[in-house]
Amino acid sequence: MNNCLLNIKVAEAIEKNPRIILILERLSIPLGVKEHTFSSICKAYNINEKLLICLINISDSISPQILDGLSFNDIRKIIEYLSMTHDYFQNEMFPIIDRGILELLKNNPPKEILLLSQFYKDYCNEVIEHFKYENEVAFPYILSLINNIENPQDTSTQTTIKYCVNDYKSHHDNIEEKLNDMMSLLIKFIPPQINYRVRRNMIFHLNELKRDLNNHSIIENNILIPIVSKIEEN
Amino acid sequence: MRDRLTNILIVEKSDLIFKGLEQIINNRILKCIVKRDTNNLINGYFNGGITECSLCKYDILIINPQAIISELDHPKVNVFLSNSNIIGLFSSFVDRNSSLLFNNNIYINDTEDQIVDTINNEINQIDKTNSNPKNTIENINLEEQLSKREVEVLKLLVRGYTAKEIASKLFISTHTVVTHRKNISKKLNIKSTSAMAIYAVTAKLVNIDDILI
Repeated sequence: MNNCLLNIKVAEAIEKNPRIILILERLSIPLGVKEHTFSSICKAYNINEKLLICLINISDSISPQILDGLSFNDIRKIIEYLSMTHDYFQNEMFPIIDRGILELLKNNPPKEILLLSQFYKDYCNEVIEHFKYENEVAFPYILSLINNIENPQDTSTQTTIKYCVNDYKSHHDNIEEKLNDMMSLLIKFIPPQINYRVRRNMIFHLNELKRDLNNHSIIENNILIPIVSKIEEN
Repeated sequence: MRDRLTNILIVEKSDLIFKGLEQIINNRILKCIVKRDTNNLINGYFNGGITECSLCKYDILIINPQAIISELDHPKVNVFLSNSNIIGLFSSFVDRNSSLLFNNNIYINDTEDQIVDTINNEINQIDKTNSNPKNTIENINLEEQLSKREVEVLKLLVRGYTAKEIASKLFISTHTVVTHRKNISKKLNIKSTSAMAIYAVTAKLVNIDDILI
């Protein structure tokens, strides 16, 4: 694990890789980081240093190592992080791409754009359905599981759902695959006579979204699910 | 039926895997000669001791990337990979980036039929390239190299037929349909059927009203 990162100033790291802003935001660390290092900012916001480094490594495409010794509080942070990512996808990234498609649909577009628009609409519905499932079923289950362990006397949150985290895993498809398809279509096959600025920006945004969704899946599959499986076993 | 022999060179350090693969090829692939890279031709080629011609006599190279791992950053690698008919041979876990280096791959858990299909596919591609003199590096075909059969499979796929239905319509096995689909997907870099349908419309293979999206 890249522990040297802990002594680096957050501001300098962001200048090199602005995507770190998204990670901080999802851990509820606002900008205005002054001279904080990653280590000092973790203390200030009560974040596990290991967890933050792991999230930064994932965003740098470094495969995560198994994280030992995460507390229940860390698990709550991960779930909050994932929920905020859902919100970012749904309320920021999808609308940007939506607007691109609407732009392409103007002025008698080639028929492929109509198909692409339908393809993207179906994709969004599928992904939003998946997010809804996580927000409404998987995450509440995990939260109530750890709550039950912390407060065995508290019957108000006792879960009776016959559910386990492996159901979550099986629900979990490769959601970024269709974005890749859409990029291939826009890069290679859709005829050239459409607004090139809109097309270029769509490819940029799709690429960002694909990368972020991929990291999102890595966090779920390689961090959250293994930890919760362990808790279930115990 | 092919009228010439196919020379195959296998670059694999494990005796067990080499001998198994050699036996499958000898038993199942017609008209071919299998040799093993005992003289370290591949590494010699990258290090300059061996000229490209020593490799030219082989029609197909089957390479375990582990054997050339130290050369993967070599500037010659990309040129070499794009000019040669190479099948990747993966004997351990698959690193996605390495498997993307090659057009076709053999994996340790492939069945005998899958291995035979992969090699025959490569042989068919060589035959197609040789019979089409226009298709040279100087005159790159801008359309994808989907074979006639792949186009037939694609047309049915995007109309909503299942692999089983396509198999019975084209008188081929379901497994072959699945292999065709995999190859189409690899060539187009498109995985979902609905995106393949959009491609099929742009390539004028089907009418917009015929497809299921």
